Amino acid sequence: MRKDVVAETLLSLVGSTARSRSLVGDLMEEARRGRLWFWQSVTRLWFAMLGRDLMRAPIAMAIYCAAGWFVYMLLSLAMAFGAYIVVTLAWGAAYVLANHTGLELLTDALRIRFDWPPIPGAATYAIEVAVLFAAAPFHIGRCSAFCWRGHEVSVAVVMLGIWSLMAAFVPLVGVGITARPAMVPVMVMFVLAGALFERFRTVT
Amino acid sequence: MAATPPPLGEFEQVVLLAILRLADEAYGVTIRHEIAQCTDREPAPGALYTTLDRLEEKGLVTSTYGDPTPERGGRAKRYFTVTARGVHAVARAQRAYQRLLKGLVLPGGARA
Repeated sequence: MRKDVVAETLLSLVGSTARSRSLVGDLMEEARRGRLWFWQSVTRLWFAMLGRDLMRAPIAMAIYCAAGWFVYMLLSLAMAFGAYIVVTLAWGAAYVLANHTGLELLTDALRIRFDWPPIPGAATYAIEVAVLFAAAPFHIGRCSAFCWRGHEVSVAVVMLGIWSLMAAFVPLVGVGITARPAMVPVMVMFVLAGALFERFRTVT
Repeated sequence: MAATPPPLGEFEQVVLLAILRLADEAYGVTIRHEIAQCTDREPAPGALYTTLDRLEEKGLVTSTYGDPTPERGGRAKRYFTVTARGVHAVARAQRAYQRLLKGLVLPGGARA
């Protein structure tokens, strides 16, 4: 990928797309200064724009992030529930097909009663970890690319603080494990990954 | 009656004066060059662009996007223009400097 496209994508995470394009255009015009100067300027601009974006409306951003926690909770529960159903059915189907004859299957189907052992605890744990710490934050990040276009990184930075508080005081209910504050940085990384994924998907 | 313009920092004044000097050709690169040429110090891109954004938020400058050009990889220039409020603000700040310097005798006997 070309350096100007990468720079433009990075800057568009902390500012509007039109503005990022013109900034990169300005830097490209001075390309004779070399690659090091280009990336140094992009880095300084990126941090300057992030700082400015964070200071613009910190209270509103904190409120959005707190609301985002409840969206995250609902999304996690829905996704975990869906994943349980899919894994349980897959597990049951595999077990029944492996341990029953055709006639047994037919009688079970007629009685609408399939007996299979519960899915292993490790699988349940894996589903919860994957949904809570990766899949749900990733989708929140994809949403942030639509709702807070040009402010994704600022939102992620505020999220880091607000979600740590929310994880401490508003734990998840209904799922086996809770989102502990120590796991929030990992979740926020997936939020950023989701935002980046969505940004690159729309750019390319 | 127009509201009193906000007080300006030193770099904000430098940027406003550079835009005024460049007239219709004021965009990021030319503003930076003009400042470097007139003050012998080259501003960092981060400092310049955040100052330009701040000035725009204060209503002291406005910006418009020009046509995309090939040497910029098809990217448009963002041209800046100082508003009447901006002119008023910079003139006010300069007058304050002049009042401070008027009749001032510097240490060593040199006159300001």
